[in-house]
Amino acid sequence: MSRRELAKWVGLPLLALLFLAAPFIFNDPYYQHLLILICTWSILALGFLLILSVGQFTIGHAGFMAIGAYASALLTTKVGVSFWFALPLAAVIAAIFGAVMGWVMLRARMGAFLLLTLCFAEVVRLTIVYWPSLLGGRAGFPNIPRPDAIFGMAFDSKFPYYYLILFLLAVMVFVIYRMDRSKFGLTFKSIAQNPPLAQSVGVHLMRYKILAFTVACFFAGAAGSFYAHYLTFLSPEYFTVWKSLIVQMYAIIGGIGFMIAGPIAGAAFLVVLPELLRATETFSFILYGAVFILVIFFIPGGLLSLPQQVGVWRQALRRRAKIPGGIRPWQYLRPGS
Amino acid sequence: MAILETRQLSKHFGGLAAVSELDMEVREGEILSVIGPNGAGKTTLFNVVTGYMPPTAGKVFFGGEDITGLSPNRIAERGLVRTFQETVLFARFPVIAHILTGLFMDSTTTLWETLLNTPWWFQSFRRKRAESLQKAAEILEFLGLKGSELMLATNLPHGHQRLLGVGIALAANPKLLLMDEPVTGMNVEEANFAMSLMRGIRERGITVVLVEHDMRTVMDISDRIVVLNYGRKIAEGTPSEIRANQEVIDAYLGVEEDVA
Amino acid sequence: MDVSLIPQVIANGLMMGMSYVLIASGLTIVLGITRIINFAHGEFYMLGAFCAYYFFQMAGVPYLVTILLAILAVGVLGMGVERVLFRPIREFFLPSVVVALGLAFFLAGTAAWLFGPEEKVVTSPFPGVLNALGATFSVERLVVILIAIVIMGGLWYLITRTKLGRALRGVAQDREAASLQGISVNGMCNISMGIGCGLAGAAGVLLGPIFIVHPYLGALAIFKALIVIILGGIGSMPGAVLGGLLLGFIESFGLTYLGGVTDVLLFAFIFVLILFRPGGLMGRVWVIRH
Repeated sequence: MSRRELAKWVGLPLLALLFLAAPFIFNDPYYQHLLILICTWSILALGFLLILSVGQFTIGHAGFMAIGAYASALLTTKVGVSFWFALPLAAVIAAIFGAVMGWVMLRARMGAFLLLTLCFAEVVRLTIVYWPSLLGGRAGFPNIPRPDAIFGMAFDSKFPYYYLILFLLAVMVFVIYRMDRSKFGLTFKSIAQNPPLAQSVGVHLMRYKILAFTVACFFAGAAGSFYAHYLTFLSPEYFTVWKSLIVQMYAIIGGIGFMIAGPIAGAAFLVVLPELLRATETFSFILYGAVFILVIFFIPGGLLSLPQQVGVWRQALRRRAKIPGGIRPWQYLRPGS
Repeated sequence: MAILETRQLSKHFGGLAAVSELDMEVREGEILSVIGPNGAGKTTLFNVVTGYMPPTAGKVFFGGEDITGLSPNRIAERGLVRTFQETVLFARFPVIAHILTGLFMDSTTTLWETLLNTPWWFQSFRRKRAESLQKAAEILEFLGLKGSELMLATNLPHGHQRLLGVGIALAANPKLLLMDEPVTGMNVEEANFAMSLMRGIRERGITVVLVEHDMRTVMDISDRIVVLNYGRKIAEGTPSEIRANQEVIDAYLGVEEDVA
Repeated sequence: MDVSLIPQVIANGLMMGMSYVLIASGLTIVLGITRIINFAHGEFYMLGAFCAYYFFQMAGVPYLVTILLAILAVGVLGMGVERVLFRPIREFFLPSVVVALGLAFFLAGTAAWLFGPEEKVVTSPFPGVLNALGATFSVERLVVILIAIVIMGGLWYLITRTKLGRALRGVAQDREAASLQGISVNGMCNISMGIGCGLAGAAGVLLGPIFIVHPYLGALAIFKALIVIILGGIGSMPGAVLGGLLLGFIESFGLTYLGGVTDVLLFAFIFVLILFRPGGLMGRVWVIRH
């Protein structure tokens, strides 16, 4: 069996099993809370990477999560819809926002696009802050109902929440995996690398960019809806631009060359690391800062490229050459055109 | 019959007229060369015709339809495909992925087929993918790039990169192929191969228009030649007519390249 | 609408505006020349504010000397950071965002660890108020406006009238052409970071006594500065001045007469502005290259 086949038939099922068994292995509400957070932020980070794969850098993805979260909260409390309808509805609402805003914003070059997403996310957050009568304002949106029991599973412990968010994550991974290995993924990447050449063979740039953006927003909305009903409370402070930026660091630290595993690994690493070191808030700031800088300088391809990076180092040592920079997938992004 | 026609086509950059009031037609099935001294507006002409730049005035007709001002991808969809002067490729793609990207224009694969490609739901995805791969293999064989499917394009030798550029365009199933300096930077052997390739492309029923500096290639391969100078057409005719044209010789005087 | 408030509102707007100008002009110099969005810029401002606390408040150094000390200390720190962290990844957009953000976290965390996370108060160097035009102005704020104008004037002189300024502008406009002219691009990037961070440090000392001083001050500062340079135009000095004053007045008038909606309207306005003028009010179009 080749190494690739081994990974596919043994590694992947083992990994899936690990994810399924995780809440039993870490049978403690706090650890389970961390697992849930890892899955939630993974969804956002995956969305960020999907948008990056068409060559656009967004820093306002949390805005779309906020739209999903508040839409779901409103639907369940004000309209009285069940959570199980509110979740897909919230995702669709976020996707519609994504499609419309994508249609407006994706015309811009990368620099301007970045600023536009920042402004959009702030408009969303400030609308929440200054509309207390409907959205709770700065004080927050309280008393969001827990999801109704389903398949005999009542939402009274962390277990059902974990499996629900794991399911959402799995759906997103599946969608991205299938897209990545079809004409869509190839077309996305071709747009990021060389827009004029892609256009010369008939690629409708806007159509594919909007598609990637909408899919990312759809899942951000779903994650937002989940988050609302998991916390049963929402505050605009959960959805600041800083939140978006940190989530995107998960994807970059994990490795942008790894479309699916990168964001998940990055989220897991960066969520778990401060807990592992029992860091206080102050210390985890220092830790995050140091990790960001060290990873970019020493493992520029992200954590998952560590095995390749070690290979590069060993080769250099054998040749007694200066240690080279290593694998840098971001070199091939050609933004700005 | 004219497959491509420009009427009074002009493109100005500020005060400079890169192309001015150009009437030109390309007949179906021919190989037409556009030549001219440096800065004669050849590449600008390509950019305007394929929609990368809007014309200042005038119209472009392709297959009898007005395509002026359409976006490049719309024009490519109609069968008017170009290659680029510089070697522009997708840096992170292997060779086969380039061809596949070109093939996707005609692909009817929908998002749903993509997502639900599990065999017992949608056979069509796998069938279409197999067809694409077969077409890609055929194009690579035609270009003589068979065997380097999985190499990164940036690791190919320069001549092969140029050929791959042609391959991407061919994959997009053109009726008319505009080639911007296809043999520039190639050695003699590669250039000869490229020329036989162009003939092969024509035999596939594709009309070819090329902009080229290499006179040997141009005289050898063209059915007709259009000569531009300062954005104007100064001559048009068969290679032997052009060779004898005094105005063309004047335009090239002082330029190192020798006509003939 | 209460007209009697107008002098007060104008004074507030000018004060806020000038402080935004100080912070944002540093950010825009760094962005214009190194092409890195220095997300840690707010942290340099925070360090300046701590300079005010430790030198002026605790050690009793005179106020103006403190300003110079802060410019020097924070500026040198900025140059060191540029040399070690920014230079190797300057040409790449994605890593530069990560490193700058990492630096911001690192500095904020370290400051909280060294100085303690609690809020600190710096006593006003110029207590007292001035009554004029039927309104009350605090002397301190007027002095801050004055010093800010002096600093910006010095910066303007440096950039437009000196050889160094010409070299800086050259690098900002076209790096390749500048290096062909014999200008050291590395050196200019280093100096620009020194100037930018020095300005942030000065802003920290000036505003420290007016607001409170704490280690997580940077996040808000960088956010405001970003808005200012988006508004004024990426990499444009006049844009930063215009954007800063505009933001100051919009906030001052808006909060007095409109309330919180101002913020929403402001961002909606900026959104539309970028859509139609990607370069902001005065800037060129910002293209990220690598």
